[in-house]
Amino acid sequence: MLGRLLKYDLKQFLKFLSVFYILGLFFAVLTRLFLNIDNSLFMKIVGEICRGAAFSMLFSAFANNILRLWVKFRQSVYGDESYLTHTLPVKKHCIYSSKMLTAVITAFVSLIVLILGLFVIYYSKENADALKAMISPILNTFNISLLTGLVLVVFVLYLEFINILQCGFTGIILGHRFNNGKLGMSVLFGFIIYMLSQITIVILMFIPAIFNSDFMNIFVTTKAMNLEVIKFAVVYSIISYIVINIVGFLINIKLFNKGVNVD
Amino acid sequence: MNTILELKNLNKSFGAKKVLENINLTIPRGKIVGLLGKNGTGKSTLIKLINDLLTPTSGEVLINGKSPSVESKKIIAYLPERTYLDKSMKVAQVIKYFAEFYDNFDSQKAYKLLEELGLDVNQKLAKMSKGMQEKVQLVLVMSRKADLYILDEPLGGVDPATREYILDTILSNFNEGASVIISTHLINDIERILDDVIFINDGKIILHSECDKLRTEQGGSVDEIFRRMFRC
Amino acid sequence: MKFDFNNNIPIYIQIVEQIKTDIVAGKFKPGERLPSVRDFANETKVNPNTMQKALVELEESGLVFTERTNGKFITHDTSLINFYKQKYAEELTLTYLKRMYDIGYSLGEISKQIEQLGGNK
Repeated sequence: MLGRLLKYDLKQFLKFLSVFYILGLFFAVLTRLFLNIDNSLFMKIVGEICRGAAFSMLFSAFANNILRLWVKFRQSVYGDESYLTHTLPVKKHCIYSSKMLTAVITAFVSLIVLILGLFVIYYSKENADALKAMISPILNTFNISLLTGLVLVVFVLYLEFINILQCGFTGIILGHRFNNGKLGMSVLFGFIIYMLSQITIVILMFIPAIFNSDFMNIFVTTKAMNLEVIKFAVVYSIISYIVINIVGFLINIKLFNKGVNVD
Repeated sequence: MNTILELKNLNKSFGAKKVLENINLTIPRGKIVGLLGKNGTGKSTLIKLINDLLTPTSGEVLINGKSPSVESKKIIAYLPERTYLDKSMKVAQVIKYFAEFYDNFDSQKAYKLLEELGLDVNQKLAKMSKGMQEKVQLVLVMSRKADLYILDEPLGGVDPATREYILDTILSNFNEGASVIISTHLINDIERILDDVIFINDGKIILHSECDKLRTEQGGSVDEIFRRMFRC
Repeated sequence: MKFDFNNNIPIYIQIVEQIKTDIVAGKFKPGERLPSVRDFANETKVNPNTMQKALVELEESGLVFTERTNGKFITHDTSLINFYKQKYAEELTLTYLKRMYDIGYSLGEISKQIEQLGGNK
């Protein structure tokens, strides 16, 4: 049943987002074309306009993705559509899992499209070299390639993004439970939960620091750090984020299983 | 099991406000039951509790002997009083959706009923009037081979000619051995098809009786008896 | 065929009356098989339980009988049908007479009325 729910949830979202994706990539390609034809002022102006359009589309895909996930969640779990959602012969945790998986997948797709768009607009040998030159000290210190470095950064951002999304869901669930679905409360709860999750991450980072003085230096000094320590910190923070996301997921399932009271 | 629905000492409060008080009710299979009461007396709350849209403050809801669950949702066909479908879908898509989620949904029957009602399956719900959307929802519910049909104000927004059609549709489509609960404040239109009636007022069940018995004992139509009792 | 109901009188009694009328009027022939309860209810747009109750009542009157596996039939007993027909005619006449007396007609005037209008259908 999870598969069937997910199919419909995903279809609905990708249909909506595909407009942004297509337009964003389309303008990205145009930008590339116009800026490469010649150096005339006219082409430059057209190119810049296209670049603006591409950026606004790619980033609104992202912004719309997150906002719509929340709005739709609220509608289908507590709004008019909840009358269908909660009367389908489907386990409660499947309903939440489907929403969360939709969030994880669409956020990933939006991210990939965004990166693809940026790549189309900016990629050139010179730009890549310039970027490499800029961050080469860091890359050299850690002894990793440019690609690995970028993937790591994007991955952490992605995990943070998922965390924000999920805190939003928790906020909506709690807001509805305790204040009859008033939007303000949901936003407030969401924000508080997000703060709590951030504090938890910091605490999680602190735990190994207690046992390892090298690691503690991250928090107490600005000295250049030992390579091993930093590598550990990166891996450890990624794991922490994953743990936080999983715990958030389990909490939400638990809240969800307590049943709803819809208007 | 001969009892399809049982409510035991059921209470529901919103904050300090008691909406349902100590409801005890048993509904056997094979009956059409009218849940009658003025607006805002707890009819919809009762129905939502049975459908797992509300959680009881105390007491029990048992459908075929079990609490609301996936199993109960499989055998209840519920028509809410509001439009609850994704309006960006076409009617044909909604039918496919129902067929995917409900094993006991009969797509062919749905198409047949839609045709009888003159509804276009290729139309988007968003393009339909509220009355048409309600008809689509009724078709979806009556096209399921359920054990318990729960219809919340099925005659609310429709014209008198359609009311007749809807009542006839309910009569000729409900499954043998199944029960139907119809909540309404339009008693006059509906009483001819009812076996039993439940009068509900201020969150309490005031009366639960066989319609014909009520007519014989108290004289007059169920509608009149209701009016006499609640002076409206 | 669809029955019209008066909500003031128990529905099953109205169904009994309707079917009795159809039997004595010859719409249902003696020995004719009745549709199954469900089909009959569907045809006449009434609740199957109410139809069932009405048929039980009709069985008690003797106008309908059940053959264990084949369903329900109209009685073969034409004298019983006639008896009900006569009873029904009497009831109607008595009601008519009562209302005529109520508005001040005498028996002689009533028969004159009937003779004058009797040809009308």
